[in-house]
Amino acid sequence: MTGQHLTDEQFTDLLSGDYTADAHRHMLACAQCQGEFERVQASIEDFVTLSLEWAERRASTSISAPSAFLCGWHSASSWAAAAAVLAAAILFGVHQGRLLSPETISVASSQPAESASEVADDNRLLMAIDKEIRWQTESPISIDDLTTSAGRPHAQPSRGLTN
Amino acid sequence: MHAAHASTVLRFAGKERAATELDDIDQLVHRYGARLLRFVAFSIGDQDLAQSIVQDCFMKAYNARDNFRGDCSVQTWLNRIALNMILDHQRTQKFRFWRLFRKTALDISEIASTLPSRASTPEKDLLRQERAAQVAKALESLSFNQRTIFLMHFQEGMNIPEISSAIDMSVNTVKTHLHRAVKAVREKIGEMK
Repeated sequence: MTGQHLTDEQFTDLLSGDYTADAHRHMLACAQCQGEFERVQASIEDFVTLSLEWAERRASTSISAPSAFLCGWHSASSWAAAAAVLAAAILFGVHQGRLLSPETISVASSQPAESASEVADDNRLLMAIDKEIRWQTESPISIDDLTTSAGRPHAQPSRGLTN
Repeated sequence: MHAAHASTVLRFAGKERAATELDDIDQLVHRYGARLLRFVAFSIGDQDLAQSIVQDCFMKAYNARDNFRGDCSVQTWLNRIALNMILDHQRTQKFRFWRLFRKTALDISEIASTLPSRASTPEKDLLRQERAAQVAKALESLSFNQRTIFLMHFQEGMNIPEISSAIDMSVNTVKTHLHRAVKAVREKIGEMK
């Protein structure tokens, strides 16, 4: 005890229920220590109770049943394996078909021409999008802003230079 | 001799019971989910991250159930796994991101205000909420070790040797952290009264 009151260690020990007879005797005799002990103990008890009530509500809605996840994971992994095998088989088949088919060369030679037209189409589309975006970025300015800036004398922007 | 034999049987029986308990993952979540969520949520102060950790914790516990030796309670074992996962998260960039934004940070006043009334009067209810909020607020100012040890001791009911074993820290160091945590909580409660 420091002076007449409980030390921090004794206070903690009393809260933990692991205290000396001396400390307990003092707490019963000292109204100040008893008052503080009861207040801290009640606060911790309320925190423990209310936090559990909160966690119970939260857990019931937020923690999903892991067994479903486990089943899902097992079925997902088997589906993934089956899909991988199927994809490999298709790729292998396509690859074999390309090697064997005489049309492979003509298909390959027609690719650049198609790509060139596609590139031209893409460029046209991109330009249209670019134009559209440029128009849209200008649009946030209200018509009032446009009219006031139009009426403003052209010499105004150079005001900073003259000062 | 007889007593020793009896304790072996009890320990063996306890282990057997725990092993069965760990085999049923849904039962495990049902029984320990809320307490584990509470422990993790108040350790890290983030609800969503806590849920994610708890979910992963149950998966990890289920996959490692053969390693459970039965020398501590299932709750303590789960807390230990959760604590390791929290420490892993703390080391990652992801955790720093969460800490930075704390969009789902715990708000004890909001939590308390949504709770159903169990006290006899609204005044008592309000008092309980205020006291709980004071402790939650005080916990925010503690170091990670102080907060974790405080929660393990007062929330989870673990004694000093159990905490020492769970977090691999000496008994004296655990006691020191606990004393400092209680002192800080007392001071905060005193400031707020």
